[in-house]
Order: sequence, then structure tokens, then C-alpha cells
Amino acid sequence: MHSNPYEFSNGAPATPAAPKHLWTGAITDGVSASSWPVQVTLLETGIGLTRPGAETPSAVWAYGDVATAEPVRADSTDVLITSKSATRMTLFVADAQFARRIAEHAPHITVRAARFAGLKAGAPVGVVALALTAMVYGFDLSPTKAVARMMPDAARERLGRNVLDSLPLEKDEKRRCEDPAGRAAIDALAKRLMPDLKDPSKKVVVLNWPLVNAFAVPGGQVILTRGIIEKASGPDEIAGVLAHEIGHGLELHPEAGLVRAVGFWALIQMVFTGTPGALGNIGSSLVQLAHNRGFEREADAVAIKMLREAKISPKAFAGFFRRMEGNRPDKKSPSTGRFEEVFDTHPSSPERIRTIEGQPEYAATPALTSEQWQALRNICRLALAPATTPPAPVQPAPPPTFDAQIKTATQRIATNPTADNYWFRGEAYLQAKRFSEAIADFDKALSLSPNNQNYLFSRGNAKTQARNFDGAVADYSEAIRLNARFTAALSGRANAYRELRDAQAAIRDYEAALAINPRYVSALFGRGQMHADRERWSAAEADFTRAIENNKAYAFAYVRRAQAREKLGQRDKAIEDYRESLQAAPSSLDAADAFRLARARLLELGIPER
Amino acid sequence: MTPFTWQGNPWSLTGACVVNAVLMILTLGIYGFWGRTEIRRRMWSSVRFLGEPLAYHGTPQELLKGFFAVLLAVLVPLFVVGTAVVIIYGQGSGVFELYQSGLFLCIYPVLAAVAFYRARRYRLSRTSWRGIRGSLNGSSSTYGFLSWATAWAYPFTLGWIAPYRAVALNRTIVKDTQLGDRQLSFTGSSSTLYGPFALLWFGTVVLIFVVFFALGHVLGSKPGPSRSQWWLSLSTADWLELVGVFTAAVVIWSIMSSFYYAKLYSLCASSTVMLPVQQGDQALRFRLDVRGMKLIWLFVSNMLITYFTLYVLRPVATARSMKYFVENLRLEGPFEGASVGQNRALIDQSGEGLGQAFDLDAF
Repeated sequence: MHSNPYEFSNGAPATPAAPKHLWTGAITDGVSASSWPVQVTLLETGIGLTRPGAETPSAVWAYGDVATAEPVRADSTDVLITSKSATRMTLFVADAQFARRIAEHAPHITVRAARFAGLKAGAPVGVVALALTAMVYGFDLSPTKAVARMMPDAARERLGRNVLDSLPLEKDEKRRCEDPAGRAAIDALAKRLMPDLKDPSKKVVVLNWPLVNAFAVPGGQVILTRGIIEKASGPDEIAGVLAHEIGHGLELHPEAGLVRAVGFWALIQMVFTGTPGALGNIGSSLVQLAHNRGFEREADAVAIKMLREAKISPKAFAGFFRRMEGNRPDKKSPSTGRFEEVFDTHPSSPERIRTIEGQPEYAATPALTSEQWQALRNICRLALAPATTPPAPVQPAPPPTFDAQIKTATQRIATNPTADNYWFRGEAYLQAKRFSEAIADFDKALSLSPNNQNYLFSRGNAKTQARNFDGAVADYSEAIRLNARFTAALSGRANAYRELRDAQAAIRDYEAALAINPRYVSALFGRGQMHADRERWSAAEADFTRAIENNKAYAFAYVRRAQAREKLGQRDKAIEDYRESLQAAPSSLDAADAFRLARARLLELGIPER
Repeated sequence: MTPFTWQGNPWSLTGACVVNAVLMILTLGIYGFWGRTEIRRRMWSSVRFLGEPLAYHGTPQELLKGFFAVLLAVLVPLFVVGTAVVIIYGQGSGVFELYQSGLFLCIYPVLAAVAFYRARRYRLSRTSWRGIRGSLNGSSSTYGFLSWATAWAYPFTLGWIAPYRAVALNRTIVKDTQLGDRQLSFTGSSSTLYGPFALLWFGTVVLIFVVFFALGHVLGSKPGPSRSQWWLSLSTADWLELVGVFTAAVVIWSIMSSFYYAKLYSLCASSTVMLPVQQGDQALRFRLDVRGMKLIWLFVSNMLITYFTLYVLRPVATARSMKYFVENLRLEGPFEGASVGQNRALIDQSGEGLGQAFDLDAF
């Protein structure tokens, strides 16, 4: 069954050199699992194997031919050796000194040598990968875009449709906003940014989604949400956002992102195979984030160029980033640190603001006329169903023009530049929604009369309208410091705190205003809103009711009470409130929005307006 | 009774694990195949029978080749088809759902079982003791189908298929295994496992009821809106109570299940017999004595070692498990080295591709 291992038939002839050391090992023949003792010596040319009792080695395994099952380490206590010259045979020597000595004679069996062999194979791959990476960055190549360009247009568009279909939205949020006047406005803006664009209505889609967001999908389509249009400070800001997203589409970023994800998946599988999760995912995520930032910079560059050619000021675009930076939870430590930026998908806002504001000045006109902008803001308005009864005659009054007041105030200032005259003109500007001019006049008034609570209050209102809520809080606070019973300032500050999502501070101010004047409508309504935010519908309904009791023409209070009553299951009462809101005075607070909401809801419920 | 022993300390692998992780990153992962081979050589070498070590003969090149074979032949086609389905039909489409269902209910389970079998075959064929190699001579697809079909029986048997399935899968692998020229055989039956399994099964049912009762006690008494943000109404004491309930449930279930698993492992070992080749040779039977509580400790501590080191020290965890099982393994009967001859089976040349791709790198 097995051969005689002492024949050493495959070994080389022994050399006459005398051994310095002698060890006892166990030898096997590879034919059976039997093993036999053997005397082992380390000679000049190889390992000498001597049968017990014999004086000279029967065979020598050349050092260059030997291999070990386990690489020899400094702390190895034994070693299992095979030799190319003795196929299938094994030699086991349980002696730490022998392990060290054999490593000296045959360094290729050490751990270090085994590692070097692995590095020899991996290093060229690493060098080639680094060279390719350097080439891609050095020559500004984009392999992902090159692959993305190969995708047929039909596939890209289909993918875009699939992305839209797969958005996890409610049915109403998925509805495309197509109010004709609003549609015409956004089409005009898209054409202005891309004069060669043939079908803008296919290019830009507005979804009835309250989230503040905009994005491009494969196929080049740009999606704007109702939220971003409602929260935008003006048409120039929407123009900047739209141009940025068109830039993503033109540069094929959505498609390239897909290609990149597939590529990284394959690469990570290859690189980190056998190391599931952790290391691989961290590396992949960091690299992908870096690429996202690169895409954002490219899209910004396209947007800046597009705005310049369309003669639209990029200042509002910069303002958009400034607001984003202001809304960061950690706004006290803006994202300028390099380490933090590693984890950002977008370049930091200060960097983007610097880039945009660093562009040369040029003559610009507003992106849209005020009528177009108003239409765009109403683009998600639902079309009214054919009414079975004549529509309610009540319509919101057209926005008054304040040119006359502004002109009169300007003339007064020319002859008598008092603080009050600046304040009057500031109020006119505020009514005309020309916030920066209003704030400038209030500044002037306050420089002439620094401790005037009314000027501070007005400037707080202007800052609130301009969505500078921190500034508004500061002005209201100063007004309250001058007059602790200034209910309007308390209510105004509460409104600003609500926008800043500081619920506790907002509630505290509403309560303080109501402690001074329990019938103060703004505070009652505001506190009701806070209750509604927290889904405390009974308390909200009670506050809206008190607000209505004190101002029966408050259309928005009816709408909010109707919403609260719907939540409380009081459907009939809610419908009555929606109808009441349509009867309220059109000049009441936010009447236009109240009418729109009430009609939309009645339409959804299938209830006639009266 | 001939014992197996473990030479050295599993933690001595720490340095090699760290060095391998660093070199793997520096070489974009290519070194990983060399690193894994080194670790295996050291782990195999720590296992001693009659004082002599096992030897691992696998090479990094084989692992590399196997990996690329699986990547190109299995994973990339699956990924390409999946991407095409998303592009053509969309993620919310019925076709995509059908594709995903097929993938997760049929293809992946079979592939995972095939991978497990092939990885076992590769490692056995590259393992030797005194130069004698092991082999696995059955069909991986038969094993894959058995694994898939019995997995489908879980819902219909309310889990009672588990002992039968575990023993059937083990039997398939054992009866396909040869150590040298000695064929292994499996003589056990799952019937002896149903006692401990019944205790585990009914204990689990009772535990589920107790946990739901405790949850109801904590959450049911909370006033206010509980639809969307119910957790806002919980106090610190409530949270502590919830964490306590879940922790106790996990501990109790681990203790109950450990007795079943200890019994399962012991049965699998004691049912494994090394058949004689010729008349006069004696059949040899394996024995394994493991304890439930020790298994729990091994499981928990290995999990912590693996996760807290981002998988870098996973080989240490594997070595700890190996050490425990090896030190409790015996071979019954007089062992004669001369009675075990060399295995003539061909060495599988394709590496352990699937096994590696699915990370089935356990003992």
C-alpha cells in the first residue's frame, strides 16, 4: 500500500559536508497516512534527510525546491515542508530553532516573501489604476459620461419616466401642475434660458409636491416642485435653480450617475471581495460623494453661463445658496472645513456663493414680469369644475399699486427728509413687496430716530417678508425691549420663531401677546397654527374659532378651522367653513390663498361652493 | 479515542489581519487573495491530529481565477438583466417585481447553496494531513436543489422542517466526502433532534406571546395620538422597559436555541463514520461534545469582534470557533495511519468562486 520512505527515491544525492545541527522529524510518503522518524540536518545545498542509525544523509532537498504549508514566521514553533524534488512527501519538524534556521536558508518560505508575492501582483494593478485616475482628472475626461452618451435617447427618456413613476409620492403630490398662465410663464423662462428649446413643456415639469426640491432625471427632463416655487424669493431665483438643473441634464449627470453606480458596484465587488459591508461601502460612498460634488460644480458653471446669456442676474441664485446656508442646522459653523466637505454631496454653499458672485457684472432684467411670476406661483392651482350654480361673485381684489404712495413719499422726503417720511415710504415699498427698498428706508428712519418701536416693528415685518427671520426676530426683540406690551411685535416675533421652527419660543410669544390682549386675532390665529402643527386639532379649532369671533371676515382662519374640523371628523362643519371663507372679505389677510385652498378642497370633496 | 488539538492562540492572527487589510486597500483589493490564503494556511496549520498539522494547499491565483469566473458568469449577467428590466419596465412594474421575486425566491437561494457546496469541495481538496488529501465527490446542483426545496417547506411546516433539513443537508455533504481513500458515511437521523427542537419551538411561541404582552403593557397605556409618532409619548422609563424586554427575549431565545444547536452539532459529528477500505480495517466514528452556553458566548463575542473591527478581525473570530470545535472533537476507535491511503480524486481547478462571492467563508 505504501512505499518505503527511507528510499528517498526522489531526493538528490547527499553531500559530504558535515552538519552542524541535527533535528528529529517525521516523514511521510504521500501514499498512506503513516509517518516515520528521520534525522534532519541543514547542509550547504539543502535539507539532509538521514534514516535513524545511518551516518550520512540518504537524500537532500535543495533549499530552492522546498515549500511550506504555512509561511514561516519569527515565532513559528514547527514547520511542515514539502519539496518539488520529492512529490507528495512531507517532512514535519517540531522545533522552533529549526524553523528559524530553515527560514535563513530558504527565505522564500517566510511570511514576508509571501506578502511580497501578493504585492508584486497587486502593485501593477494599483499603479495602472492610479495612472488611469490621474489621466481622467488631468485631461478632464469622464468615462461615465462617455458611457452615458452611448445610451439611446429612447432608453434615457424611458428611464426618466421610470424615475418619476417610482417617486414615493401621494397621488395629489404626483399631479403635474398645468395652470395655463403658470405653464406659459415657466415655458417662457425655459425658452429664455435655452432659446433653441423646441418643446419647453416637455422639458420642465412642475409637480404639486410641497417639498422644496428640484432635480433632473435621465432624458434631460427637469422637475420643479410646488414647494420650491412657493418658497422662492422671486423669479430670478427660480431661473437660477432651473438653469442649474438644465445643466445637470445637458451634462448627462443623471445617466452618468447610473453608470457610475454600476461601475463602482463592480469595482467594489472586485476590490473588497471577502470583506463584506464596512470597508467597501465606506470607500464607495466617499468616492461617489466626491463625484456628486463635481457634478454640482459643473451644473453651477452651466447655470452661470446660461443666466449670463439670458441677461438674468445670478444674484438671486447666490441668495438661494445663502438661504440654504442660513437654514443649515449647524449654521454657526458653516461648512468650510475640508474634512466635513468630504461628507457633503454638494460643494459648500459659501464656495458656490463666491463662485457666482465672482462673475463679472452685466446688465440684467428680471427673469419674469410680475404678472408671469404671479402666474407661476399659482401654477398648481386646480382648474375649477363646471359649476352647477353661478360661481360666487367674490374674487380677491387685484393687488393695489403703491406707485402713487411711493411717489408722494419720495416727494416729501425730497423736501423734508424726516424719519417718519422715510418710514411712510418704507411702508409703501413693503406693501408693494419691494422688500430691500423698504428695509433701506426703515434703516434710514432708524438712523434718524434709533429708539422708535414702530420703525423697528416695520423693519421686522419687512425682514419677515424677505424671509430673513433671524433679522426679524432681532428687530421685534428690540421693539419689545422698548415696549414690553407691544402685542403686534410679540405676535410678529412668534411668527418668525415659527418659521425658524422654534416652537417653544413661538408659543411663549403668542401666549404673552394674548395675556396682554386675549382678543388679539393674529396671536389667536398663530397659536392655532402652532397647535395644528402639533396635530392638536381640538385646541387648534378653539383658537381659530376665537380668531373668527373677533374678525368674522378672516378668510384664512375659516380655512384653517375647516382643516382642523376635518381632522376631528366634523365634515359638515368643515364644508360650511370652506364655504364661509369664500364669503369673507377679499381684502382680509391672505384672502387669495384662502380662496384657492377652499375651492380646491371643495372640488376634491365634490361639494358645490354654495 | 484520539483527540484533535489546536496549536497556538487565535488572537495571534491579529497582526496578520491588520497588515492584510492595509495591503489590500493599497493594492485595490488584489492582495486580499494572498492575505486570505496566508490566514488559511495559519489556521489549518493550527489544527493538529496526533500532533501533526493539517496543511492548506490552495493558492491565491486559484481564488482570483474563481472570483473572476463567478463575477463574469453569474453576477454581472444578473446585474445587467436587472438593470435592463429597470430601464425598460421601471422599478414599480410587475416585470421587475417578478424578476426580483425570482431572484430572491429561486436563483439566490440555489446559488448560495451551490456556492457553499463548491467552497467546501475546494477547501477539502486543498487540505491534507500527512500528505493525504480530502475530496467531495457529489453534485453541487443536487445539494443546491435539496437546500432550496427544503427551505420552501418552512412556511408549510411552521418551521418543523428545520431539524430534518439540517440533517439532510449534512448527510449529503458527509456521504460525498472522502478523507484520503476512506469514504465517510452518515448514520444519524433527525428524529433525536425533535425533542430539543420542540422545546425550542414551543418556548419561542410562549416567548413571542410574553413579548407582545409586555409591549402591550408599555405602549397600550399611553394616551394621545399613537398613529404616526407614538414614540414621542414614551418616557425614559418606558424606553428602558422596552429595551429590557427585547434584551431579555434575545437572551432567553439564545439560551433555548443553543441547546438545540449543541445537540445538532453533536449529532452530526457522532453520525459521521469513516468507513474501512478493506477487510480487517475498522470503521472510525467522530464525537463532538459542545455546550450550549459556550456556543452562546462564542457567537456573541465573535459577533462583537467582527463588527467592532469592521470585519478586519473576522479571521480571529473564525479561528476562535475552530479552536473550540477542534478541541472538543474526538475520533473513536484505533487509528492506524497505514490504513488510510491517498486520494486519487482530481483536484478542482476552479477555486471556490461562488463561495467567495457570497462570503461563505465560515468554518
